[in-house]
Amino acid sequence: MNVIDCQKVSKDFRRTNALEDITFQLTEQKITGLIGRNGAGKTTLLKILAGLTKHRSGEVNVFGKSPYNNLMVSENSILVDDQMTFPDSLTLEEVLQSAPAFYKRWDTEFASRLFQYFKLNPKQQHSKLSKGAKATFNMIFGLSTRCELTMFDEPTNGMDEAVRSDFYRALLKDYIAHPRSILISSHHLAEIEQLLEDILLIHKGRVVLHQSLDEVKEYAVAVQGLIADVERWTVGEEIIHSKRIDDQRLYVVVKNNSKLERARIEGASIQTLAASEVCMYVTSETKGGIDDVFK
Amino acid sequence: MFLSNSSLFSVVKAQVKFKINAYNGLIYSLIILQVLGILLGGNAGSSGTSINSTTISLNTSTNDVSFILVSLLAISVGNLLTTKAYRYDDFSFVATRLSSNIANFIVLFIFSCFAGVTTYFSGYVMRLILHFKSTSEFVDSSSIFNNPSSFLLTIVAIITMLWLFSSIGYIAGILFQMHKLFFFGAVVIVVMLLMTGTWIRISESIFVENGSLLILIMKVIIITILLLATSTAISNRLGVRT
Amino acid sequence: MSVTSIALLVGLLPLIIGVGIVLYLVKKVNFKSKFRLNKFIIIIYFSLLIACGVIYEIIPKETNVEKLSGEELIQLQTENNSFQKSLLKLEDNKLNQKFLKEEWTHEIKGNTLSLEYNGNDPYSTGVVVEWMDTTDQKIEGKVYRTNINVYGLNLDQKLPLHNMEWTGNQLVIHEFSAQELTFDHFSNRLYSLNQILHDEEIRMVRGQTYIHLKVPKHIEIVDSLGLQMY
Repeated sequence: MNVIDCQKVSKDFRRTNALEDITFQLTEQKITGLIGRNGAGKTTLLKILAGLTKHRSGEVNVFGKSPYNNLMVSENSILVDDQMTFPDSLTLEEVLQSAPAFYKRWDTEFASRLFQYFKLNPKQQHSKLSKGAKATFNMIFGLSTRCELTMFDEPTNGMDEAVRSDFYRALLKDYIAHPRSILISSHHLAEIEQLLEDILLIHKGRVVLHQSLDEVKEYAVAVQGLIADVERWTVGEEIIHSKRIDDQRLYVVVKNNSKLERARIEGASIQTLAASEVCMYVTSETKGGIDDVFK
Repeated sequence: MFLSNSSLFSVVKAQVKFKINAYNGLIYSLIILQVLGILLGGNAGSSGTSINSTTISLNTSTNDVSFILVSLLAISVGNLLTTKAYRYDDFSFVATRLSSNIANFIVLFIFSCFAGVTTYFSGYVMRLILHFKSTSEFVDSSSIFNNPSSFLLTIVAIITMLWLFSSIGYIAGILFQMHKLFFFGAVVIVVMLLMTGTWIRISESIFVENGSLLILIMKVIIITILLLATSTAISNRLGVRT
Repeated sequence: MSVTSIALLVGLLPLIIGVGIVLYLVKKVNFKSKFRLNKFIIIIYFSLLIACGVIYEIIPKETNVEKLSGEELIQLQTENNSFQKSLLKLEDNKLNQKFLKEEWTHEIKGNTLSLEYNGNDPYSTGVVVEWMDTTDQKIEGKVYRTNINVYGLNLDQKLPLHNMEWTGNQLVIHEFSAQELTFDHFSNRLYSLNQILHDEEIRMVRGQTYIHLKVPKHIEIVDSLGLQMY
């Protein structure tokens, strides 16, 4: 059964389209990275999935139900983001104490151990926390719910380097112990790459790629060489990105397929790319890049 | 994949518990207002007349000042629960708009009960003070024991009125959250009704033409439920964390 | 826009301002501070109030003035009305004897009887004259006072009677000297709710002092203040 099933989901804010025809399925028990540039529509998509906002058209199903105003979905999913709020009248300790009444699979023990590890003050109020501490607390809260669908929207915003890597380890270990569907959004793929099984890349409100990490890595390759050579090798290829390295040499990213054999025979240097580079090039606006600005 | 599936009832119950725990600081405001009511309301109503050459004055102490102050609090608490901060808190936990609305109504009702009973009894503080302080003659007032039904009815009437006021604050808050224009539109309509006298006719038929407190209570409860149902219906499209 | 609606709006203004102030206060208390009451404080406050109620209800209270209900007041009023009617018809036997306060006879000299009133409120007193078919100089008088009840408080015992004094052939009615009576009353009912309930009850029974004089026919009455009732 698919945990998430989106068919042609659209959403607009006033005149701009935030999401357009988003279609994808998420099968259970996978860690999926929701990757996209700033303003790609990641947050909007997550809010729709969590039932916080309503989409305009298309069909969204989470656990087979429309998430908006659905109690079962709300109970089995959580969206952790920096806009999460908790009553000011409760201390962090009390917030954690109230959670089990709502989340049937809440792990009190786990929550308090994480809480102690990250040295949060149990008597403090949520709104008085620093940005990083707030993100840490929200993360602890999100992980401890053990929700079948756990979504993180830019979870590491504001966290320092040490906390970030602790967070990733904690997430991975907890996922192995309690497999569930986890969706993490980030505009910084390199950092979460080691966690992910699948990547859902969206750009300008549309799904660009939805593949496993390995497939994404093999999606494109880079060819580098003298301009004339490179242009000859890549004739008929789907060029994703190209840039002049210097006067004579060109760097081209092309979709990976067998035609490049000729280039290989002629001794071109063909490089595989990291998933984050693939994502970056696929979503880049121009063929040139920042260098073109300075020409 | 294991999916837990709670009933609406159990989620509402958990939300009510949580909200009562989180919002009980409101009782602080309640206590302040009641103390204020006691201080200001020592001689709530004084009527005087003169017969032959004797001036007769009767000072009637009632809980009206406390009641009015607490009513204002009820309106603002109703409104407070609809503000973003309070609505979003619900969605950090398990909630739907329906469950969160129902929980709010129950919380408002529970607070109204507490406020109603304490407002009623705050009058007794005033009585005790006057009893030892005042030099004038006391008029027999019906005590709880010899007129328990009037005592109960008054308390229930206070509670339902407070619930009504909080639901008025609630629906106004929801309208304001939906769109500021809706809110001002509603205010304009209310003012228009006031001017045309329609409102007076409506309120007369609701509040004036009552044989007894009991009928008033029934009417107030029905109006409150209507207001709350309307708020639920219109708040169903309110987004969270937007 | 009618006058009443303006009045209503003006009346609503303080309410709106009040709501604003309370709203502001509530927001301040909730967002800016850590106030969260201990359950103890709530329980203590609650039980304190209940205790006040219980203490008040059980402490012995000195003789209190009884407060009559609206229905009882209506009854008193009917008694008064029927008394006055019977008195004016001179139906002696129908007069409620509980109103009789004084009885006297007086012999006057001469053929005139003048009525005088000493006080501020001559309307509180009415003189009913019954002409007698005798030739002697004897005047019989009966003083009645009907129920006086203000706001449900029976004042029959608290208000002193008018004083009748004869000087020669002059009857002077002295009003008792001015005094003030203050009562304290606690009501369980809310004035604001009872306004809404609109229970208009009569609040006052203003009894009067009646002087029933039996006067021989040949005597002329001088009544400059118009105390006589017909």
